[in-house]
Amino acid sequence: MSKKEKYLGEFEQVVLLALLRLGEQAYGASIRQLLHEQIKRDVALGALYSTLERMEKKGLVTSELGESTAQRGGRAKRFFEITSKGNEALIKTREAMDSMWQGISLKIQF
Amino acid sequence: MSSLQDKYTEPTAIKIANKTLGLLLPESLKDAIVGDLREEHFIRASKDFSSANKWVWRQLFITSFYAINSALRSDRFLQYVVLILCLLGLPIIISMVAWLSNMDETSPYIWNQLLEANMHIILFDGYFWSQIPESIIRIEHITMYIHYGSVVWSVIALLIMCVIKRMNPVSAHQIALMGAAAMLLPYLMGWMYINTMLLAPTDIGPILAFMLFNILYMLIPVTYWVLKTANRNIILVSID
Repeated sequence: MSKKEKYLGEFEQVVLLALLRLGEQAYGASIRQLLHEQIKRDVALGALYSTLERMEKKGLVTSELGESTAQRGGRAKRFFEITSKGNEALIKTREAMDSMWQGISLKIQF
Repeated sequence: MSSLQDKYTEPTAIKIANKTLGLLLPESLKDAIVGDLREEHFIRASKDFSSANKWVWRQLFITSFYAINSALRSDRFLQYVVLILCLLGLPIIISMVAWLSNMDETSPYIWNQLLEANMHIILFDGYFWSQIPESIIRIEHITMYIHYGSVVWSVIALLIMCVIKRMNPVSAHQIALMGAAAMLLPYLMGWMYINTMLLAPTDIGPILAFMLFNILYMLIPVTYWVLKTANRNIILVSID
């Protein structure tokens, strides 16, 4: 990743974290469901695959076809896995955010 | 679950998604997305069939934009576009050069457009096209298609593109963009020069030639290069 692309966008971060949480079971529908359960975010499949495709081109994730099921009408799942480059990008982004948050305290106003 | 599976029928939206996304996306990606839609629809339909259907139609609508965007950015689509532009562009430029070289007289409208270097506008004039057959017949020597200034420009531009390619890996899209810039820059420069300077008609001719011949000389090598690079990428993706 070039210096310009050192930090991930917000949605890219969220998707990569979802891949880490799901491990070997990270595919489109499960990632979407996890995002909905964890952060109440209803992500369109098209937007999700667009981000995953972009990250695959950048070398942050890899994908491979998995098993098909009757529930999917006999269609195979495409499983995604974070790469070491993706891990590194997540760590760098987290460090940058932690650095910016240092010394800041916000109160939630109701 | 198996009894639910037996009762489940694939909704129309999924069938439409299968067909439309199949046109726009590679098979494996289409299967993954349609499979995800079906899987989630199955789970939602077990709770509320009506809202599950609404959900899948909404997903199809949004995913179609992604699929269209993906198809337009694909190497395969680029190949088609570049090939069509080359097959159309070559005869058009060859015809225009023949017409300009053999032009005895023309309509006042076309003459004014030429004096303003608006050759792109002349392409939409019927009078120009009516003159083409006679102009082609009157081609005497192939040497009328040799323009040394454009040869120099084209060679330098292609060399620069080669150097850039050696220094960094470039995609087919990047080659197409560089080629388009190298071909259109002389056209734009010539157009601006003619429209800002008060030139005599005899001085405009050589500039028009420079504007056209660069495109003529670079169209085939750039097209070949783009097709070759795109083809290599398509093969690599298929292997993956």
